Amino acid sequence: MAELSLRSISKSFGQLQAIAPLDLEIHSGDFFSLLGPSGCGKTTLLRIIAGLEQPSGGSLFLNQEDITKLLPQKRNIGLVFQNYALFPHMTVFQNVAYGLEVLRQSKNEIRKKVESVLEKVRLNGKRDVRVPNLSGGEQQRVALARALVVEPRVLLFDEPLSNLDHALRLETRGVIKQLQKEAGITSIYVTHDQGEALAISDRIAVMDRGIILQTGTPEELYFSPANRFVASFVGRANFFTAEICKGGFAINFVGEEELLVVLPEEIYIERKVKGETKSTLGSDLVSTNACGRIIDVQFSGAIVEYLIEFLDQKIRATRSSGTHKAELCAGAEVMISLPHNISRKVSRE
Amino acid sequence: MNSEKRLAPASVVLLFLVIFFAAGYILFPLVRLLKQSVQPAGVIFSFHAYMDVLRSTFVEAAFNSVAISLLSVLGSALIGSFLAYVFHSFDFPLKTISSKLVLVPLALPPLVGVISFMFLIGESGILTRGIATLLSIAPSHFALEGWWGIVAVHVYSFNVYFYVFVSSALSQLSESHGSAIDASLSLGASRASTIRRIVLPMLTPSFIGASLVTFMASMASFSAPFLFGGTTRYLTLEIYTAKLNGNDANAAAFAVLLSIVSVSFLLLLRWYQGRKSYVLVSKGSGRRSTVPHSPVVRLFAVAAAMVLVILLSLPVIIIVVLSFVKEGSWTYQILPHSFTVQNFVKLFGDPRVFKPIANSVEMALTATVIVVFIGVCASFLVVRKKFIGKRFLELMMNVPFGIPGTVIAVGLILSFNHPSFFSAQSILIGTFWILPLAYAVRNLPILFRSTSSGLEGLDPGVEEAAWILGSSGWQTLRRITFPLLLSSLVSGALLVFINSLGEFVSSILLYSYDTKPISVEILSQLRLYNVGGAAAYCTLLMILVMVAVGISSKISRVTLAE
Repeated sequence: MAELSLRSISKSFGQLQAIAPLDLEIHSGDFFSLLGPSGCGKTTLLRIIAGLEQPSGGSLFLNQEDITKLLPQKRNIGLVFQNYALFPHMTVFQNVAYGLEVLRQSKNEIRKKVESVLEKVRLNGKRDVRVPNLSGGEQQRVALARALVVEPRVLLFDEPLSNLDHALRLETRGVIKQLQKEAGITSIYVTHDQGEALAISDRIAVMDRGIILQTGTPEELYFSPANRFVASFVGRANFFTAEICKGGFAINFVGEEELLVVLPEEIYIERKVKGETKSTLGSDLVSTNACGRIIDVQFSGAIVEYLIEFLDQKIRATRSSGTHKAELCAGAEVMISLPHNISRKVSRE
Repeated sequence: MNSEKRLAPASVVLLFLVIFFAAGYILFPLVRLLKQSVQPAGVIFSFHAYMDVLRSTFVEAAFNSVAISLLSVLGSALIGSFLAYVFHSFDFPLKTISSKLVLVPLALPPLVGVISFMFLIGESGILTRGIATLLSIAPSHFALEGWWGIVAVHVYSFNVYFYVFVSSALSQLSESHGSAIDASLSLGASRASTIRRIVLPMLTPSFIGASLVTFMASMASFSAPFLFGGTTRYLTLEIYTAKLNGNDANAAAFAVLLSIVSVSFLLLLRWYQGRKSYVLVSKGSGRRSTVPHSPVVRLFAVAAAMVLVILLSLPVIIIVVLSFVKEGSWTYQILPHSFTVQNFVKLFGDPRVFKPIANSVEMALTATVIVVFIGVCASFLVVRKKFIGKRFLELMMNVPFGIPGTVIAVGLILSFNHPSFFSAQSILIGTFWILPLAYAVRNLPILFRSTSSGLEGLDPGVEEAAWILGSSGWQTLRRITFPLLLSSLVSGALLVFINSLGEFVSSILLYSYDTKPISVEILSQLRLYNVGGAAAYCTLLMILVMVAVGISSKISRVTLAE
């Protein structure tokens, strides 16, 4: 169990500032994700924690011990690489045993530990296979076993699932989460996939252009985004200048400093009936008194997503597919309603 | 990563050794050559040697060299590209073995190729005599000697460059964007215009690359004009002749002029390779995509290719057959008639006959050790470290590739026929060391390149993964980096070994009685009309080469299978 704290860590490559000075506390045993678009500095931050890059400024503490200048060899921090970085000339067993061998543990000890960890990742049948002969998912699990077997104080993941297909991704995600909970290892997980981060993490830091924009639990980030970027990146939210007035929302009036954040699943649409301008809905929904036009409908299994042109902007609405109606097709005029109790707001910038 | 910024003391020592080698045995001999050419004995500065050379035979020799090289490029291009296209486009019986036979000239020591041609189409060659008897005219009327003889040998030896370049371009073409051909056909283009407008333009880079390599190799060729050229003047021969006549200044002037031509072609080649080629990265399986041909075209193309393959294998067969010829038994007959295994028994039974073999193996091994040490250190430093003069060191490691062997040999003679700093104040000429040194200098670029590209291809994450697991820098090098480089290192080293084993060009200028290598001994045996003995040496060389190539391809197959 270990806690990690980053104090004013920054990194520049020549003129380019990859990471602005930032502070971050990662609690013991947490599954912590760094979420952001590619090029936001999250991998650089991970490499600084691993010791593969030196920060340009600031310091790094592991259990109150300053490890900023410590070589990667001495940190006892595990890392699962994006491309796995397995040793291609070795078997599965040799790959996993390598870290124990350099620690000069006894042969017997090594064999026991490797076999136990291979069992956990369900690879015990493949121990003598050379790693290039494994499938992508199996290679991924070897990388995981190799990092776990040395019982690191902190385990780092650099987009470990990005080379797997969708089904394997979900499965491996479960394996990672389960093993992490069992071992109770503090983990930092880098990803650009917001769904993955939301599903797997205890806490998440959202990064953009070298700055941490918000840190919080998945629910906090999703339902109470601190700014426009987080709302859009995590929740794929819609933004309006609006407020509730009598009879409905007044949408897009000028002068407002803040934007109303509306999640796609909160937008209610119904087919506009000729002559009628008011919707007849339950009491918790309020009509916007304005119409939109559906541009595109995407059916993706559990949900249906509608792209709608609405008051000079494009908005996104979703419904569970059970409630989808054939009349909600591309080109259809629809009435837009919102829940009356939305008060989630972010500043314009 | 941070450890790569500053050079560790160990790296500084290695860098010093590499710089010592490059400065002493690559740069210094070239400078010495230049100096000799403008500073003949006693004079401070004079262009006399250049004037002398230009007035005498330079123009003729240069014209011959360039013209013969251009013809060699043309012939090699036609045959090599044709074979590559047929092998790529059609399936036919014995294709696998034929495609291996086509590559034989690549591994064959140049001298062996030339000698086999002498026995095939030279004035007393088997084909020449056969045709002469058939038509009852004098063999000298159509013996391929002089210009056309040299061109024939060059085309035999160098068409394989075109074959290799064009083959790899063709398979890349169909792997990475094979659908370009299908797309063109589906848009309604005819086969001819698909070949003309899609296939050929995409192959242009490899044509040009192969042409430059072939041209350089022809300009540097020594064995072919030496043994086959008759009275034809050739630049490499002029250097040799001037040196034998004791005219060091003229030899140096010839060498400088030839080097200028060769190095400019090397630079042109590197510049050209640095430019973008038509390679698109795309996913998907490597389905072979070709332009469909009618059965008649197919039949003729395959038949022509098979005839070429047989012609290209003939020299090797001839050498093997001749190696069983009884000493002194084959004189005026078309075909040899009495055979014996005595030649091979002697190779290992007679100490005098075995001596050149022992010499060559010992010197080739020494050269390989030197090349591996310097080449590996240099590529590590160049790929992994940052230091001032890195580009220059890299250039130095590549320069011997562009400089003809004759020039390197003459440079070494002029540098080490008197005490020098780089030879610990002793004279190297006439000692054992000068030959391995020459072999090492000539072959350094091969190993440097294979190791460098192996290192560059290594995923840096693999080493980082080892560090993270607690493995020290040295442990990582020993257990991760070296094992991963082993296959490119071993195949590079084997190539260096077989090249050194059959090396003729610098050997003939540098050997002494005690260090006579196989190649020079072959020549001596030919001068004694001992055809069988010479051919037995050649056969032994070919067997050694085959073993080395076999080991090398086995290693790379094991690595690939992983």
